[in-house]
Amino acid sequence: MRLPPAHWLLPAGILAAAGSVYYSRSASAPAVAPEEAALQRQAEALAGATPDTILQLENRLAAARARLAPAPGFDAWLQGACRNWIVATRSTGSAGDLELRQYGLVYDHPRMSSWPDITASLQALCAEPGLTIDRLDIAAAPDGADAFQQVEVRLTVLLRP
Amino acid sequence: MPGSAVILWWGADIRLLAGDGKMLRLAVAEADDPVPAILRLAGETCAPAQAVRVIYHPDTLDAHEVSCPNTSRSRLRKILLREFRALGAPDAVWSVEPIRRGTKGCATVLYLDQRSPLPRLLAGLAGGGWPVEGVWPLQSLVEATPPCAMARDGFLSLVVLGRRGLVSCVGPSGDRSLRFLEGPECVDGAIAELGSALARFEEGATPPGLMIVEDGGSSGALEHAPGARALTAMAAATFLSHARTLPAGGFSDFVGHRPFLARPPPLRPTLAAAGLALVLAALGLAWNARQDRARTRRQFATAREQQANLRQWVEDRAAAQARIDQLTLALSRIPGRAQPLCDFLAALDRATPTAIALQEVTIQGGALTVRGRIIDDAGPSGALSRLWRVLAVPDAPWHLDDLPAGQVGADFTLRGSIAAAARKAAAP
Repeated sequence: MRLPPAHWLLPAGILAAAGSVYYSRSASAPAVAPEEAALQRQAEALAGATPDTILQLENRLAAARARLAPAPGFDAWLQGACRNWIVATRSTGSAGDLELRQYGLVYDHPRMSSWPDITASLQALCAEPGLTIDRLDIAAAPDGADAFQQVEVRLTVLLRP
Repeated sequence: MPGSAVILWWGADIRLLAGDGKMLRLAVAEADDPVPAILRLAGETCAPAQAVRVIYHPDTLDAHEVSCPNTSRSRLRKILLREFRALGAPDAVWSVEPIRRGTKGCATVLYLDQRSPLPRLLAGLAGGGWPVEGVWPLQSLVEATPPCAMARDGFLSLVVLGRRGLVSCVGPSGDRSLRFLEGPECVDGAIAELGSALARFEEGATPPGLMIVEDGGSSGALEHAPGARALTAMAAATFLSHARTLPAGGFSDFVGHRPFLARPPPLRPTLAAAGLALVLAALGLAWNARQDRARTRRQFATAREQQANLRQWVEDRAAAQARIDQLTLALSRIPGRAQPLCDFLAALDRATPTAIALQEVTIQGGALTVRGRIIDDAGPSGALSRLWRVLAVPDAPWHLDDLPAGQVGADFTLRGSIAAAARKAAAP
């Protein structure tokens, strides 16, 4: 085999070697994106946010909403549960798609003998889901009179539309 | 061991000094080609593989005394090429004497043979198995032969072989001159030239030098020529034997330099092989780098894909978390039953003894206050303590503060909280 002239082959070899070295050095591995570690931490923090958890919460929310009283019949129910009470104040609002009502109830001519009826009414109110008693004032009349000076309840209730 | 054979090619006069010191002479007719005759002579005289040195001065060789810078031979050729275009001819044979510095600067002698038979001679010798160690001009042999080789303040030389002569001189200032003579008037011309050369030295000086005369008829006249007495007479065979001291590939070697029959540099195949090896190594390196790059690219693509999947997963989970937060908030806004409040009222009703008259119960925002009066004459604190102990049970969904110390009057106030239990979020 006839070799190419040295004065061409040697510089060509040197150039090729230099080019190869440059090429190989420029072929360094690109770094993995630095957000990898941050993503891992986020993933660990969000490990519990599963569809099952959502499903459970949705079921719980749906059940809680289902337990709320319907708005149209609440006034009638309140009249029935608190027969001797007078609705002193009433206001309505909204909490999302639910209706928010606030009532101020005053017991009409409360005597000491009315106490069982008062507690029964309060028991009925307390058993109602979505109902919060914001304030309860019960005061006996002074000087041992057989009557209450004040029996008042302020409540807030969430109702299904 | 015999030395190299020395061939003197001076016009048609051919001489061969064999390795054993025997010298043969061959006269070639003017019209004949000397190369076959020389090869025949070598074949009869030289041992196989015997090295050969050539003193080369054929009739076709021209000698030019030229001024030049003190530089390398290759550079010198480029400079002389401007004046001697024939130097660029592919079959031109040329040589130069070592550069000498004289009164007019540096100078040399250019030998140029435009239609040289030397390539054929060298090819013939190589074909016969006689390696040629070098080819030199006649003046180089003169300057390499003692006493000329050692003369510091110039020298004279006179070479007359047959009908050819060379008179050369290096003056005290270093100026070189040489004159080739040929023909019947060769001896007279040589005597005249010798006188002219002697004039370059101080009057009465007897410069050293050489005298090689091989013609019995004319040697007497030459020996009595002015300045000849101080010259060292030498036999032609002895003179030729000094050709064995000429450096092969030296400055004046015809064949030691390009462009004519440059010896193949031994490094050339090595360099070529090194270059080829470098190319192959570079290709291998590039191939490996390419493989590495492809593998890295695949790994990076996989890593990017995994990262994209992870990012998508995190986004999905973040959306799920947002939904969970939303649901949790919605659930927290739906209160559960306020049963603890009623339970507290019932417990208060049951636990209040007849010795205590409750006057006021207030529950607001989870804070509870109970006011009353002790109507038992037995003592102010016994009934109240019992009431407190009954109500302040640890498991109750309400909390009562401790009784104030030192209860002395009939009126009392119990404080506590029920907020957490009363407003607890709806739970299944």
